[in-house]
Amino acid sequence: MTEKLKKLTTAQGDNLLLLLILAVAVTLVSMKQASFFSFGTLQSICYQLPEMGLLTMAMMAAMLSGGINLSIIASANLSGIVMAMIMTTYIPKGEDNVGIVLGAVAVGILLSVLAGFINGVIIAYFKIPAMLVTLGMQMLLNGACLVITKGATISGYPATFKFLGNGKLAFIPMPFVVFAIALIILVVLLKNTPYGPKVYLYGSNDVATGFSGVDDKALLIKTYTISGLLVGLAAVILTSRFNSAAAGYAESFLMQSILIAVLGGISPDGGKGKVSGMVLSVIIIQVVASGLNILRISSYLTTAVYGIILLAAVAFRSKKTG
Amino acid sequence: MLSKLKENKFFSSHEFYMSIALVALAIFFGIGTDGLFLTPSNLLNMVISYSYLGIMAMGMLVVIISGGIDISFMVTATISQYIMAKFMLEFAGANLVTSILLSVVIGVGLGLVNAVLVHYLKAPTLIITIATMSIYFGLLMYLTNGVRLFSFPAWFSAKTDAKTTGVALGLLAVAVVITFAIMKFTKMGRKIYAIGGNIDAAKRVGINIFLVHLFVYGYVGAMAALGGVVHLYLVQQAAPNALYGGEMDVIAMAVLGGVNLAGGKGSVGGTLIGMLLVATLSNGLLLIGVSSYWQDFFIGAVILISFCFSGWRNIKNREKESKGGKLDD
Repeated sequence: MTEKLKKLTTAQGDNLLLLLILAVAVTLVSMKQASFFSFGTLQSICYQLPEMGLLTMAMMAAMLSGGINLSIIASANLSGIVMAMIMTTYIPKGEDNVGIVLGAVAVGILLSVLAGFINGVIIAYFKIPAMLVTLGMQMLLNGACLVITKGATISGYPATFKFLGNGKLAFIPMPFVVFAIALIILVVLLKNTPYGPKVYLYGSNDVATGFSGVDDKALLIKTYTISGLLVGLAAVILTSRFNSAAAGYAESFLMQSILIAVLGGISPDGGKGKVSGMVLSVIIIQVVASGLNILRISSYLTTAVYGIILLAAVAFRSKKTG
Repeated sequence: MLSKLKENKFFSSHEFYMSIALVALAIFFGIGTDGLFLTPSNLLNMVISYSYLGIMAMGMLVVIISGGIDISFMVTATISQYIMAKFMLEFAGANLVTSILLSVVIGVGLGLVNAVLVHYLKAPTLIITIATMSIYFGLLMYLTNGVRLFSFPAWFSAKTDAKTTGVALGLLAVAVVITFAIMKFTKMGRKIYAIGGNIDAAKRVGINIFLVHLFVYGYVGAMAALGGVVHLYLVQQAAPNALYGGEMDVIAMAVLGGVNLAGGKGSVGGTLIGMLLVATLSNGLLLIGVSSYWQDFFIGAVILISFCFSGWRNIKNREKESKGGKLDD
């Protein structure tokens, strides 16, 4: 009985700790601004959280396998730009066309999926570290963004597309619906399909996994394709919410997604980490971001603060694992 | 004859293939620009304007050989460059030697911070240096408000062609020679290769890993600062965000030069070829009239293709080894 209890508490201890951090963060922020604790704040967080959540899920997918995906932001930008190009070219200003919007969204998502797939192929078949492959891919995709836009910003989208990032389904914000669906799919994938145990196994020991008869090439390609798919979904929400697309958008999100993943207990060495921890971590950082915003801390100082939190998270995690 | 050539290590090395690619590219751009690309003045200007990145690539080479990576070096370069600029503007007694020294000391200091964090936090160096990069850059922009520094004293701002060539190529040569000497002839160099090859084995042999880490990340800082000095001299302006974001070019030089991507291998010559490759690609594309927007795209593509190529060669070599066969098949 006690052993069972012990097992339960250590398994949940991590999340309990994150909940504690979250409670502290919320308390601190509401001390500064009493209105923070309201339905309105909750709703605005539900709009802001999904884009970061989806990008972190993309990062997490790669990290679980012991890799990393540094091309997520460039990939999201390229998807956003291509979606924006299609919509602004084929739909006259002020009009709407659901078919074309859906087509544009599909093409955008497919582009990110393709980028993820190519990442996976190079990592799996040529045995090059994910960090370097995805850095090269980042450069290529950033270049593609610049080539297409020539540095310009593309804005002005039809109402259907705006709805995806700003609308509501009943009372739930659309981005949150997308996020929730992606979350459920990821959980099912990790918990209820053979993919889950395989990717955790590969992340903790790739050599042993190879010898145990797992097709590690297919596994890696699947992992980075999933990562790309999540990036594509994030791109839809980001582009719709920003109401514009350009090269070099949201670059600070790359570090943030790594920070959230590490804080959430995803081991950068692979093989460890839970979706629930990641979700708590996204919420924590969202609250911290609101707090820094309320305190009117400059965006540069915010970057520094995130860097310090990342180091703290890494220090804390490395202590725990020994 | 042919079998002798095959036995020669150079002709089966990554550096050899990269030189072929470099020469082919140079000829291509030479033809494409009616010889303009290959004129001595263009080649000299090209090497001068990429010299500071080449210097930084020497530091990057060392850290990648040790099995790690440092993303923060561009910000390190900016900080030491900015402080050096401030020093030259505020102190009448500043001269070239004290200014460079100050810059390098700051670079080393910031590198040592990375080393301590890398050593004590058991996390990938990429993540640690992304964190320090954010901290350094955030603080730098916050404290300077993005203000640019310029109009330096005459001894620094008076530029002649000969002086520019001397500073840029001279310091590049210094960086290359020192890096080559360290990696080839010193115990520290062998230790760096050792921990990059197999850190656990290196520990058991009794290598003080902490000292090696201190050296490696300090060295990256020093090379970043030195590159920052050359950059400051070339553009005569210290802007807090001028270098930021250019990390990839430097990493590309080291990686294209054939550093073994998992650590333990890599050469100074290869990195120099890598530097020339990146420079040739950017300069050549510009000269044949391709818009500069294409630059990142092409460099990214070349990096990915070279990964596939070197990855494929690694796998082939391993297959040959595991079959027990020699190179003559």
